Amino acid sequence: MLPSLGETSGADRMPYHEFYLDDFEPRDHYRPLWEHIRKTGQSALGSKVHEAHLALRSEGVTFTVYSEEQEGIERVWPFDLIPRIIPANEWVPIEAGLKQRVRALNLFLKDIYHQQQCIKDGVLPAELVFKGKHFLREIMDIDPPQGIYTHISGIDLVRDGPGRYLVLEDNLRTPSGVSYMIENRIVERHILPEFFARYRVRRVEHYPALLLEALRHLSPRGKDHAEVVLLTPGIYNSAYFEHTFLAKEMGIELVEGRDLVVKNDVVYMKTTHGLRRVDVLYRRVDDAFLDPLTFRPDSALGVAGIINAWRAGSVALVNAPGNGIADDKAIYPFVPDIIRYYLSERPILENVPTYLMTRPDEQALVLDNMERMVVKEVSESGGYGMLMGPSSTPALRAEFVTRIKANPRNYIAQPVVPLSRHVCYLDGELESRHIDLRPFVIYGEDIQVVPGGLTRVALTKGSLVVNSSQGGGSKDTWVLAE
Amino acid sequence: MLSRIADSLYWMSRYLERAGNTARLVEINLIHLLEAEDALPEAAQWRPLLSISGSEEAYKKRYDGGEVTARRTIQFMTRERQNANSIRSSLRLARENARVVRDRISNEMWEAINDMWLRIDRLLEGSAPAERSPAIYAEVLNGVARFHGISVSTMMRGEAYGFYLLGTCVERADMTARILDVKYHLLLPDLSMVGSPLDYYQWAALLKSLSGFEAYRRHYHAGLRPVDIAEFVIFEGNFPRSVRFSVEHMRHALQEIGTDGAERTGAAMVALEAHLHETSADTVLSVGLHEYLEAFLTKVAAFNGAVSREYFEHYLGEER
Amino acid sequence: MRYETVHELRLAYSVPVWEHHLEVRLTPQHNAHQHVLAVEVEIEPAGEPRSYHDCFGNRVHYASLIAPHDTLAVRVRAQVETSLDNPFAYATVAPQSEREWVAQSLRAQPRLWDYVLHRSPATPDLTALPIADLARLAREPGQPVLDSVMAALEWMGEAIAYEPEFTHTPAKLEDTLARRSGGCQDLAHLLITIARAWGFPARYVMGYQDPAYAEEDEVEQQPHAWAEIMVPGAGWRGIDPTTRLVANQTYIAVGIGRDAADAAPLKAVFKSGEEGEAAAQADVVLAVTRDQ
Repeated sequence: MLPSLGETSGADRMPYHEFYLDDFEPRDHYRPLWEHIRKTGQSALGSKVHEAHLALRSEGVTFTVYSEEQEGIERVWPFDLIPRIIPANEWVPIEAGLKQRVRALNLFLKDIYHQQQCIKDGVLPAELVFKGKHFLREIMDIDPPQGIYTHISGIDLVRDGPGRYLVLEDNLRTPSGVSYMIENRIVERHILPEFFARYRVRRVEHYPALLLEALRHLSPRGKDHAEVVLLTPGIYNSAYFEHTFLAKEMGIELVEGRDLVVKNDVVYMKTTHGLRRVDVLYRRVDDAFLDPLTFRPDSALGVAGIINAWRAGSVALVNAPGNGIADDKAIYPFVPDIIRYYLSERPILENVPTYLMTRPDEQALVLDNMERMVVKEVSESGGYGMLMGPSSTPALRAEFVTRIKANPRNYIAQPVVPLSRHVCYLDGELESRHIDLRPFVIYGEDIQVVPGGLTRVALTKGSLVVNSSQGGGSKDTWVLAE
Repeated sequence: MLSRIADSLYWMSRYLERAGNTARLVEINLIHLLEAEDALPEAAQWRPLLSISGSEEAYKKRYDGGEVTARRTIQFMTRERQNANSIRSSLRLARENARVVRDRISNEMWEAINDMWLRIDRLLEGSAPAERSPAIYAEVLNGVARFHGISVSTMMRGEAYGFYLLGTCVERADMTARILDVKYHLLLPDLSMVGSPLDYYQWAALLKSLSGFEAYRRHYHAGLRPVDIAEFVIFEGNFPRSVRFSVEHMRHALQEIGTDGAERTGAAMVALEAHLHETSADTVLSVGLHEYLEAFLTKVAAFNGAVSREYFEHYLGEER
Repeated sequence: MRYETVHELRLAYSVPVWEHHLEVRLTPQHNAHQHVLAVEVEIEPAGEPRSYHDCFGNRVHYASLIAPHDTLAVRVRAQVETSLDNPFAYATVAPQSEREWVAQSLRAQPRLWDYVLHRSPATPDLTALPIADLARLAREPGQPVLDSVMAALEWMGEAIAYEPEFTHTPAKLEDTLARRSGGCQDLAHLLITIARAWGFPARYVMGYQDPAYAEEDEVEQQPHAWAEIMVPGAGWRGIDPTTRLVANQTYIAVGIGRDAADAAPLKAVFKSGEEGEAAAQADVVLAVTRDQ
């Protein structure tokens, strides 16, 4: 059913403020924090900001931004010291909704790469799957260990005007940010222990242990003979810090493609004392670069023959190759139907209202209202290839109209959701900025959600773009215990 | 440990040692020649350095077969990018290998090598011929010494430490043998000249380029005699830059690493030890120092090849 | 008919290569009209080939050759029995019901969509090609698809001159049309492109013909390429644009795919030193004999 634009007018277009109830009063769960800040004084916070920056820098918490110049610029992770707080009762449906969504998407992937019953039953058009850029027909009929494809998911959530949590985007391939989630907690605790004194905050630092357990669970040789390694593209990758962080925290070897070799369908590490068999490969290399024999032959980052080894059942790959079809922006509008189809349940978390450009009436509606739309290219990520209607020029909107008409399959549109706002301490002042939330879901023996996640902040005033590669920041995220 | 990491640790150390040894060589030559009264032609003074580092061909290519001058040689051995064995190239490669192993060495070790590289690269980038000033060589030597100081006191003993030590010692043994070979024959081209008036300064320079001049004088009281110098540089186990010392520490390094299944390496190690065992400076000199040292260098090369094959690339052969 | 086939690939590299991983797609198809009685795959230097079936139904043999070497030999021997003596013996579907028949097949087997939707430089959108008289390729209303195919083959015969040399590297179809000549694989690609424009699943086949075909043309035995189209009532039927025949038991299908790239007999990656690329020289030997 087409959500009419009328539903997103007026009050719905005012952003939800997470911290303030109205001009004077904080929301109940922020009151203790608010009183503490008032008592301490804003200027005292200034020195804490500096302390935080130093702590992050000496820990080496960086990310790399790539631009025209070859050498990437390593930036210290941008951190705002006012935490984002989620009361326990608010978290309950979020956690349930995330688990439900990941469970359904996993069943979808299993089906798409085997019987394709959902296509036969008309849940979604075959074309979207077979023309999907990330649909990997090469892996059809392969049975991954335990039948799990989405071992690690990052589901991006936003809040609409009335404060409802909605899913903005699924990230099922190589979602990142969990190391920053943990570092934010470590730094916040270190510089502002007095903030914590007034709350009971649920822990997040057990994520690496949770993940390791889930990875070992997949070992073809059983949990007790599980050689787990992390495959990184190398030091030039923008998320390299997270790769080293996770490998260290989990106590597993960090390897590059050239450290591995496949021999007779078994994956081995090249060590100084012989070949050592690998059971589980947590790979942070994109699908296309994972296996030059099966995918891009020019890739130097992957391991030739690894897909065949995976097919033979001798190694587990995390996340499974091929997940991209499920987090494809063209499939996103069908996810609520996917949940209903596989689980016979009502979706607990809803999508942001989304229009498909392949549907004539939806396309017409969008083309008539471009200034109120966010138009997204289906195949991009990282916030590029996107039109922000309200802040765009007529020329840019016209260009997107042309592009949509030429290739409707490649575009979806969403009415601008006013991302919720929070208070940030910027340049000595408390100012409001837009935020979102990326919780992390681990699918091992069962599905677990780490309380909270990474709250990302659009640091530019008025901006709704939160990706770190484009100048976003972050906050520590607290889920309160009962 | 991963072969790639071991490979980089080994080469990080070898390049660092190479940079330090080259710095010492050039510095001593420079200082020595400031005061020289002799009429040795420039080429004769500087060509030995090229020969020690095996750079004669590269030099000829760079200077189009031209003559060997002090200015060019110093430049070639210090800052020349096209010379893979120049100080700059060696430091750059040491740092690149260190970057590969950055997560396995301590932060301080990485910072020591990175800072040194950045500082020296910047100094050499300058328009003034920094290489003509002994100060830059002191910088290099200080940087290398500092790195070793930090490593030895912060690095966990074990396999990684073993490869770091191995690289340093293999390079040191190699370099020492080369220096002795070339310089000795400069000074004493023919056995019949034993006993002829010595150039005190040349012999002193040889010992100084191995940081062994003071130690030698404390150890030997009969002045600078060729046989004593050969004995000191090759066989003196207590002198840290002697060939014997380096070979003994290669053995220690292999113990840290573990030699299960690395038969060729084990055999090459034994061959090196045998080369030093049960012989003496007198015997070596009467049989032929050059032949002795050349044979030694061949065994070092064989050792290096075995290490590469058995620790870094063995997967190309049988699985163990 | 029973055939013995021997297909051999011999490659020589200009510098040693190692960590060599390869996939071979040279096992003949095994289906209702073609039985593989025996197949033997040898790879030298010694690799113990393992096998799987890919998403197109090809039986793939693969091996990993880790130690350095500078030659590769792949030898596939097979005994095949073909039985489609009359490709027209099926319950025909009325022309007005053909569309629905195809739609039903797609619903029942979604994987067939790949053969309708796939676009590549070898099999692009028909409308994107420089064809002046495109209207001639439109189907006549009420025409059974096999008739439309024959009409299209006539058109193709005028548009493209046949070159007997077989290569496995697919050319861009627009280049083929510009040159107005192409090999059997280019003709196959063109027919596939046309059939897909009509909404029919169509795929590429690499295989062999009965040796009698070669004797007629007095050429050496070579692998051959043709198209298969999903014909309502019949299922997949081979159409050879080179001979303008509907394939019967004198055709042995080996590799199939959306286009030639999917059916490449040998896919390989390896590592080699920096001294220049390891250019490979390849020789192909093919012997197809019919048992009397």
